[in-house]
Amino acid sequence: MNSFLSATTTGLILAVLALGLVISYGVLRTVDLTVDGAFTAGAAVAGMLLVGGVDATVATLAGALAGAVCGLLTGLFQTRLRVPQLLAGMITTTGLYSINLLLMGGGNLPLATPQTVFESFAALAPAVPAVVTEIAVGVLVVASLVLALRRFFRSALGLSLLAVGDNAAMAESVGVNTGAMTVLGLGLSNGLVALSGALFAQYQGFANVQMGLGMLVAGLASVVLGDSLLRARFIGRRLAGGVVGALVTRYVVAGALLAGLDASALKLLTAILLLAVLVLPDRMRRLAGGWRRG
Amino acid sequence: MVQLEDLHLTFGAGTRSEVRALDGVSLQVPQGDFLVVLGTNGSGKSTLLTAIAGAARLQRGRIRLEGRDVTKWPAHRRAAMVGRVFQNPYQGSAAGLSIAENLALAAQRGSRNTLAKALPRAKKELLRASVQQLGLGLEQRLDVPMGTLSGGQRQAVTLLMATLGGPSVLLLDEHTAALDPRSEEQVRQLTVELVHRHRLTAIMVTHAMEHAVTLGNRVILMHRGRIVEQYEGTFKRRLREQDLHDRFTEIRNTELLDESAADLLRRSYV
Repeated sequence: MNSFLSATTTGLILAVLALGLVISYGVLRTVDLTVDGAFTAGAAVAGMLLVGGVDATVATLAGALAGAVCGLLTGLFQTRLRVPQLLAGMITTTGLYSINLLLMGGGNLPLATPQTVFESFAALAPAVPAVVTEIAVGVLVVASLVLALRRFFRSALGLSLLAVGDNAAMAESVGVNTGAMTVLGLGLSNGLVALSGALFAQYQGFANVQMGLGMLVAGLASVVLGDSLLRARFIGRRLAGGVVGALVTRYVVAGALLAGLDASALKLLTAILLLAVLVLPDRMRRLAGGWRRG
Repeated sequence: MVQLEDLHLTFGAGTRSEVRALDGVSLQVPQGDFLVVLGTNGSGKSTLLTAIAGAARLQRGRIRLEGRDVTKWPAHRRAAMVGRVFQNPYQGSAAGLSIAENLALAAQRGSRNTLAKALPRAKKELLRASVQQLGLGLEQRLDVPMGTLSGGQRQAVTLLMATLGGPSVLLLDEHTAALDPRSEEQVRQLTVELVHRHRLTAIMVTHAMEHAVTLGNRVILMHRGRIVEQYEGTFKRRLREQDLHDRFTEIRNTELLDESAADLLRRSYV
């Protein structure tokens, strides 16, 4: 039961990461390598501020803002300096490794002493078990973000962002500044990624310079899995798909650990999961088509 | 009003594959004129439209739209004045967005992107009324993805989009070439109707001599990045397809003559 509850909390925190990837991968159709660095940057900035005695909510939002700045930088490298998309993300993430180390004052930053955002909420209802508060915080954050993003994508600005990802030539021909939209999209995406990192660090009680490693793949697995599960076509379902995908991914991981999988094999499991969700739905459709014809 | 002064655009300049797409093109298209652009393959017809739309950077020359010098404006800024329809019916709209969302995007052309709702009820009803004019029955399907429409339906919606938001110039790049004959005729009629209704300055690139004869009030012929012939006024009204065929044959013969002369020179002196 504990594993299930813990997987739910982790899944909800990583759903925020998945929402970020719905924007960069699902909407803008780019594989943004900034993600691994931005996730850690969110954790590092929030952790540094928490240790410095700053309020947990302010520290968490500052972490998200740091990630957004990283995304904006990657976007500017792409659109202003004409750096190829993959390289732009790689440059930001590589630079962020050193910056994160400097911010944390080392490779690891324990957050045991200061009050985290989860503990702040737990203090409001001391009688409620910690695990329930953690899930409640996760649900609150994810639900607010999904609603806010859904509203954003129904605005003129959001629609322009959707159009750039779908057909940049068309978007430009109706007056959308595709460069500015790419920068905005990557900023927004990495802001969410860093928010996820800030929450994750507070949940596990420490920030680590390596904690972003593999987060891009984990997030992509959630987005692709969610898309296939919900057959998402429009943005509202794609956002919901990201959340569902993140939760299912964490339940698969929790299940594998319960079944005796070594924790060091988790990244391998995530990679295999991503490969499976990319390949299997198409194969199964073809197989079903073959049976129907046969 | 579209004013083009001495436009020069060379692809692959200084290389063996250098192509002079525009070689000193100057042209004035007064407000409300419908100009048809004909030309041989690679004559620079489509590049001319791309340059006016701002999607290709000129090496030399000046472009004025409605009297404003837009030469250095990026494409998205020019879009406030310019509507564009591409040859490929799938290029001019976003397949993953609904018909209503595509139309809303076009209707917000030239205005600032804000966080206000893109499709409030009143606006959707206005767009529904616009779509009704197409006569394709799409007004009941505004929420379906654009990608589910046929090529002809999609090109008709794209054409409508190119006239929403108040542009004064309409650029049509062989926009009926990829359609079946029935859809082609529908889109062609719609083009004439929309151009007249919105009093647009239209520039249409085509390979069809028939369009050059029946559509518009002026025709230009392009060859190797230059305007080699213009028909307007009485000459345009009296223009027959055969005249255009004859002129093209003449151009091709001159070109063949040029090539054989160059070949002879190469053999004699190199």
